Amino acid sequence: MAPQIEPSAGFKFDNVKRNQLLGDKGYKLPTATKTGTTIVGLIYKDGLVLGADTRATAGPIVADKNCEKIHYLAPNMYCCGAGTAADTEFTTNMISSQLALHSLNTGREPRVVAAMTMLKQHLFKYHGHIGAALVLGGYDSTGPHLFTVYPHGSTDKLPYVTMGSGSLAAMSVFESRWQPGMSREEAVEMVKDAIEAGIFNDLGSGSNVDVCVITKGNVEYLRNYARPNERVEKEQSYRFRQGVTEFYAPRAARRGQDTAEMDTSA
Amino acid sequence: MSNSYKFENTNTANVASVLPEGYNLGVQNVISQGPRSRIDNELTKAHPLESRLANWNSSQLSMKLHMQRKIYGLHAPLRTMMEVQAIKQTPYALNARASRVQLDILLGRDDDFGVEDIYDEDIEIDMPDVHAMLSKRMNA
Repeated sequence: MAPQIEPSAGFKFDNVKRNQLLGDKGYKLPTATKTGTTIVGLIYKDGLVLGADTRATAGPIVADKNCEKIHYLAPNMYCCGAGTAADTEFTTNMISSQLALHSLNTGREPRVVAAMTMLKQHLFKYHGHIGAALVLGGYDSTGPHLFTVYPHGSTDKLPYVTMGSGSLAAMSVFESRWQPGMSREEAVEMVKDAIEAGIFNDLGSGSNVDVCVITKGNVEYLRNYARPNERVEKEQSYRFRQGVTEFYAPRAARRGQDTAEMDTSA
Repeated sequence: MSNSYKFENTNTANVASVLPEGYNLGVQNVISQGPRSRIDNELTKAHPLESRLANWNSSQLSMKLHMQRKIYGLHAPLRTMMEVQAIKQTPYALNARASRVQLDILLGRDDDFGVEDIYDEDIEIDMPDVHAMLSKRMNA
């Protein structure tokens, strides 16, 4: 008979006590790469628009200047992720697989509420230790839907949302300008302005703006839609002139001189 | 069965595992299952999340069984557990992962996708327990 072991995949807690001991002695753990971030979403007349900046930070250092924060969940659903980068990436990949299985099982296009429920149940199980704050948006058979999911598992359903460290800057743009039933150009422009507000006023967000427009049956992922932080061209040329650096063996060989004989006696 | 709709079960004695599987039967089980008190289970859990995750599947199952009891009556959870035990007693198949499909379907996990489906190197159970199989055949 096969032994009935409860599968124990997932987080391993073997090193917790060791890490606590080391922490008491003063050896801190390295910090995980976070996406200090501005992510936004809004619903307009024909669908919804998601936006995100592209900076990933590890403490005070910029770890990635052009990362992707808008993750694929289903052909009609995308999810922006703020918080610990690995957690958002891994959680959205797993929920994407689960959604694919679920939609094969039901034979229908997956609904946004299904993805939201799966995300919320997964995050609640881990008690908030998975640091993934997500903005989930999609267009399914019941129309466009926009949700936020917090690391402990709570969710909100709203017509316009912002998350991340730059959420206050971006929300100020939305609160002053959002109206129901906007056109696509107005919506994309507003999302770009909101993300740029986050980029310029929040230290955790920076680099470029990614935009994703989801309508019925169609998704446009505009990677680097705006690049307000292009690196300036250097004013002088810092290349070395050819022939400046000396190196020995080939030059001696070119002149036909012998190199000094090596003493190989024991 | 559990007495409430409590989402997570903080008791260590979990009634969902009704029949003795890793039960302490004394000296007999030392060969196949190791000594009576495994150090792993005796130590207190270092992280608060660890006990929650270790008990997650069984506490979810207890909650489902409790709801079945409330909705359908006293027989329903017993029937479910009877079917689960019946599946677990089928003879050993060489392909251990496929033989868990029946259990997954019965517990409603067949379209779930979790970390155990991605990181499962130590779940592959290769060695059949020859002694147990043989003793079963001899006794039956």
